Amino acid sequence: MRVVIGEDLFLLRDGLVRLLEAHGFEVIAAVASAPELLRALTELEPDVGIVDVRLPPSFTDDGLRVAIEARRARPGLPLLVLSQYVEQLYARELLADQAGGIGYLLKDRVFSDDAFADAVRAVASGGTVLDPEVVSRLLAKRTRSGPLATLTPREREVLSLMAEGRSNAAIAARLFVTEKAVSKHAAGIFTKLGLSPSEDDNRRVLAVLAYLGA
Amino acid sequence: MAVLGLLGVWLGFLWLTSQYVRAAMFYGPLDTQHVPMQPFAAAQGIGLLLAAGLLAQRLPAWSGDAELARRAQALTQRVSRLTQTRSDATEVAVAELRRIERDLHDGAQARLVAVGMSLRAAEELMRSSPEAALALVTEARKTSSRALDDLRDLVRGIYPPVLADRGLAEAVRALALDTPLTVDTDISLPGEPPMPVAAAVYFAVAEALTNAVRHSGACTVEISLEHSGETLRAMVTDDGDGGADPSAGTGLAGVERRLATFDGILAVSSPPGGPTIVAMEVPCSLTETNLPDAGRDGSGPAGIVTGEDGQPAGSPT
Repeated sequence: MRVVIGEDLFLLRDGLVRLLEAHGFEVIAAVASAPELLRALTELEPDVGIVDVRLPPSFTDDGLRVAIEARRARPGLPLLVLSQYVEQLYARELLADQAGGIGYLLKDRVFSDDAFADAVRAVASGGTVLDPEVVSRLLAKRTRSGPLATLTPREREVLSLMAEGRSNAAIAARLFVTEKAVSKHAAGIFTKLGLSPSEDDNRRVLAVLAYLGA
Repeated sequence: MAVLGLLGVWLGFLWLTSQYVRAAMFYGPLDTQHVPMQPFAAAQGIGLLLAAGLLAQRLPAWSGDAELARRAQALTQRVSRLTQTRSDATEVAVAELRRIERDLHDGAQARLVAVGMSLRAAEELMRSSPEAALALVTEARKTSSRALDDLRDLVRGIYPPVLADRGLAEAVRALALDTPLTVDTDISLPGEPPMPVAAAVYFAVAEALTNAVRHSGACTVEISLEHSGETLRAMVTDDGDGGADPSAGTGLAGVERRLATFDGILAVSSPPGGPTIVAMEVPCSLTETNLPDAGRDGSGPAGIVTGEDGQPAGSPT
C-alpha cells in the first residue's frame, strides 16, 4: 500500500515513516509543507495520505485545507488527518463530502495505540475513523429531539464505536456481546436514522455523519 | 498689554474704514498700491493676536467655566477608570500565569516525573522480572498520554488553537459544537477583531456556555455575535431556570474585568424562571488581515469554499 506523509516535525515524520514501513506500507513521499503535500497527494496517486493539520507556511490549519483541496481534486482520496488537538468543526469539514475514506486522530494515538496501522488500512478501504475524543464529546451532547434521541443507550454506544472506525467484530469484543447482537443494534441504528438498506460501509459513514450533525 | 491690543484693534478699524470709504467712492477694485498699507496691516495683525490672547485668557471666566470643569471631571473619571482597569488587567495576568504554573506543576510535570520513575524501575526489573518491567513500561506510556491530555487542556485555556487557525467567528462555532447542549449560532463578523479582544470575547462566551451547562438546566442556547458602529456585541441566551447571580461566582466577574481592559462591558439578566441572557459589548474595529492566511476564501490553493452560513459547502446540518 502506497502512502504519502505530510508532517513538518522531523522526529515525527521520521517516526511515522519507520512505523508504517514496519507494518508493511510503502512510503512514496514524506514532505514537510502544505504546497509539497498538495502536489504529492494529487500527482503521486497514493492509496492513502497521512496529513498533519498544522503545517507551514502559515502554521495554522494548512494541512486540513490541503486535505479538503486534494479530495476535491481526487474525490474519495483516503486521508488520515492527525493533530495535537481535535475539533468537531474540523471533523465536520473533513466528512462534509460524504465520500468516506477519512480518518481524524490525535497524534498521540499514532505512537501509543496498536490500532494505528489498522486505522490506516480502514481509511484506505473507505472507512471513517474518528478519534475517541471527538466521539466522546459527541456522546456528551444532550439530544432532546430528532432521530438520534430515539436511539437506545446501547445503540448510541455502538454508533460511537462505529464512528471510531471499529468493525462489528471489534465492537462485539469491546462490549462483550456477540457479533450478531452488534449487527442487530447496527440495523436498529440504520432504520432509526432512515438509512435505506444498501452497502453496509456507506451506511456506517452516513450514520456517523447523522451523528455529527446532531 | 491691553492698551497695545486696543491700539491694534483701533488702527485696524481705521484702516478698514479708509478702505471701505475708498471703495465706496470709486466703485472699483481696491488699489492697494496707492495706500501704504503694510504698517497698518502689521500693526493690525499684532493687535488682533494680542487681543485674541487676552480673550482666550478671559473667556473661561466669562462663559466657559462650567464646560471646562465638566471636561476636567470627565478626564479625572477616565484616569481613575484606566488606573482601575490597568491594575485589574495586571492582576488577571498574574493570576493567569499562576494558574498555568500550578496546572503544569500538578499535571504534565508530575506525570513526566512518574514516567521517569516507572522507566527507571523498569530498567531495574528488566532482567530479573521482564513481566513486571513490561507492565511498568505500559504504565509509563499511558501516563505520558495523560500528560499530553493535560498539556492540550492547558493550551486550550491559554489561546485555543482553533482561534489562532480560524479567528473568532469559527472559534465560537467550534465552541458551540463542543457544548453538550443544542446551541444555535447567529454570527455575522465581516472581519476579525484585534487578537486580545478576540481572545477575551471567546473566553467570555465560553464562560457563559459553561455556566449554562453547569447551572441553568437549559436545553438550548443561542449565541449571537455581531459588529456594528465600531462595537463588537456578543450575547448568550439560554432557556434554563434563570436566577443566576453574577456576583456569586468568580467566573463572570473575571470575564467582566478582562473585558473592561478594552473598555468593554458585561451585563447579565437572569430573572427567576429564566431566560438567562449574558450580553457583552467591546468597542473595536475589525480588520481583514489579522489572520496568518489573508486569502482564505477559496483564493489560495488550499482555500475552503464556504456557504452563506459560514459552513463549508455541502456540510451536514
